[in-house]
Amino acid sequence: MRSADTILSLRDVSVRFPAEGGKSVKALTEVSLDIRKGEVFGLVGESGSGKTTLGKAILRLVDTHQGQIEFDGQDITHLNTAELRPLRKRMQVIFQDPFGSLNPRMSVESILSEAAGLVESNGHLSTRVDELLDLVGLPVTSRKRYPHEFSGGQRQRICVARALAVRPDFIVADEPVAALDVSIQAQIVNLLQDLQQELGLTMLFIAHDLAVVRHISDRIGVMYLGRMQEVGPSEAIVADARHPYSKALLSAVPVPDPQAQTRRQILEGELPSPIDPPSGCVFRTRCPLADPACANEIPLLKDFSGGRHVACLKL
Amino acid sequence: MQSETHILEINDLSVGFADSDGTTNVVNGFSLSIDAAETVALVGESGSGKSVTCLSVMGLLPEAGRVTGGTIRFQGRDLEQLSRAERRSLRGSSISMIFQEPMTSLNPVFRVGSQIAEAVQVHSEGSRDDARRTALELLDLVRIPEAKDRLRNYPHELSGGMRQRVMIAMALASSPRLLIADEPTTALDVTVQAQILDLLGELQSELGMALLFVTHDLGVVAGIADRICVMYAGQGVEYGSVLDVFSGPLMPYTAGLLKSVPSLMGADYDDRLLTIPGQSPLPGSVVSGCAFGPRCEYALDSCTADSVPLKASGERHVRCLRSDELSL
Repeated sequence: MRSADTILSLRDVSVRFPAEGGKSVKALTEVSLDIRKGEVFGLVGESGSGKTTLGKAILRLVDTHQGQIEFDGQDITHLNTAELRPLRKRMQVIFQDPFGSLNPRMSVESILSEAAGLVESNGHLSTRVDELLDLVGLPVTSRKRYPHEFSGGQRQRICVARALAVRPDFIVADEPVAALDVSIQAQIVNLLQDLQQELGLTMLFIAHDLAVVRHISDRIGVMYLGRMQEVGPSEAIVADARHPYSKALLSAVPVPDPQAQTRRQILEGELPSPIDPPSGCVFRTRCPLADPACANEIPLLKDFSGGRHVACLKL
Repeated sequence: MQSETHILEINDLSVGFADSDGTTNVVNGFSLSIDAAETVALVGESGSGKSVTCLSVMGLLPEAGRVTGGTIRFQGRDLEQLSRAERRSLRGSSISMIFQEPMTSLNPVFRVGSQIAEAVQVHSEGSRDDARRTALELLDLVRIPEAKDRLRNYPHELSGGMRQRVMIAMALASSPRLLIADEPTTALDVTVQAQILDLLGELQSELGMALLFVTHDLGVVAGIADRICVMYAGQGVEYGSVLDVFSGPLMPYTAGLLKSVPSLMGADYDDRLLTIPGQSPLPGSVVSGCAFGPRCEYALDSCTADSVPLKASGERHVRCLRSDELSL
């Protein structure tokens, strides 16, 4: 998978969180992934699938238990705070809740200058703030205003501007439109798409909404219970998913067309506990294809045609 | 929109909230009727007034909220004329409601069994043991596996989907004729959402109750509802069968909503998403004429002159001056 233009490379990355009784939550298990420069990689999966943990591990906001993370050729898995500082300017994040991630007592101007001040000279700051506002489609007259004076969509634009203030190469967008209304979602998705192309950004786009992820991503990874189940070009995943979990996930997405209602494939049962995940294939307890052999062997991502990789013993 | 079969009839409803400057209206002359055993989807964005409308029907408006005009009739009775006691006995027996976040609607310190039994006992004469038996039947009704064991669980021991099933079980405790579901699947994962939607659809036809389903998700509407009502800035702006409205919206706002949803299966994935410029007016802000006018690409001067009435077009209703000439 690794090639010259790979900017981010994960090898068998696992993340554990401590749980009661000396046990641990297996939030992320042996995930390997390469993201190319300028690519938008979409990450889908349900609550507890590990997609947010994966984003945080890359940003070094949680510690990696095992495995290796390389960013632009540098092993960043165990860098300390000081060593991480130059990296922080190159990797930025946009979160779901634009209100919770903006300081209510700071004006837009101070929010953006604080961030931009890390890379710009003082004399340049004021122009840069105008530039950033313009970049995300906010009027420059809004610089003196405070977060509560903006709507949800506008607040998310401020978060995007702040992330771009340090001129990053790589952005993790974790559910950036989930909290917004439908008509506003489309505005923010378009903005992210335009900026990504204009600035040549690489983006990890994490969302539970498959239609949005498909729209913006070049490739998609499907996660379940901390493991990557399938990776491939967006179109291939959506049109012809191979992994039984990907299929069930796609089938559950409501189709906004009353005449195209098909029988949904309902996934039976509940998500197993990440403290004690099933042996072998983690999806086997809910999988229509599972047989006893699936309990004994952990499926690895296997190469399939068309640049896809699927982790299933039955294919 | 007058008929004998309507179980719920909301007519010209206005709801205001008291604040320091007087009263802010968040629902402005909203009308909707629902037939027995029918599923109607109420669709709109944040602040459009859909939840406040539901709370008015339930008689559960917060302290500052007040119905300032119009009528709500349930099975022919004007709800605003009822005493508090009459209202309370109606609530939970003939009309029930489920909410978005099941965790905050359940009491964390009681077992789910006793919470369901309590809901049963409020509306029946039976003993505590009878109520427990009914609770078990209700958990079976909402397809909770190993129901007997689940009765002894606390809410935090259940998954989000299971908690929503428990909420549905409680809402169904007294066989309501109308179930109001306010974004019941919004907080759930998509595969769990599919389970709950299937369950609600099955229960609706099994029990023959009317279902008012509030959502912002048009995909969900297409799968569950017979009719749709689109709300914007406290008014109903388009009404019709789901088939008609999805295949040919009459109001530019509805058309914009339908187009701004990215499609999972469509072919035009490389294009930019179509957006509705601007944002919804804040509650209480004064917009002359059509409330959607300032965001509408088809708006004429006449659209902003006077308030736009709801007009009928066959079985459908739309609040747009130009609906006859536009092809959206």
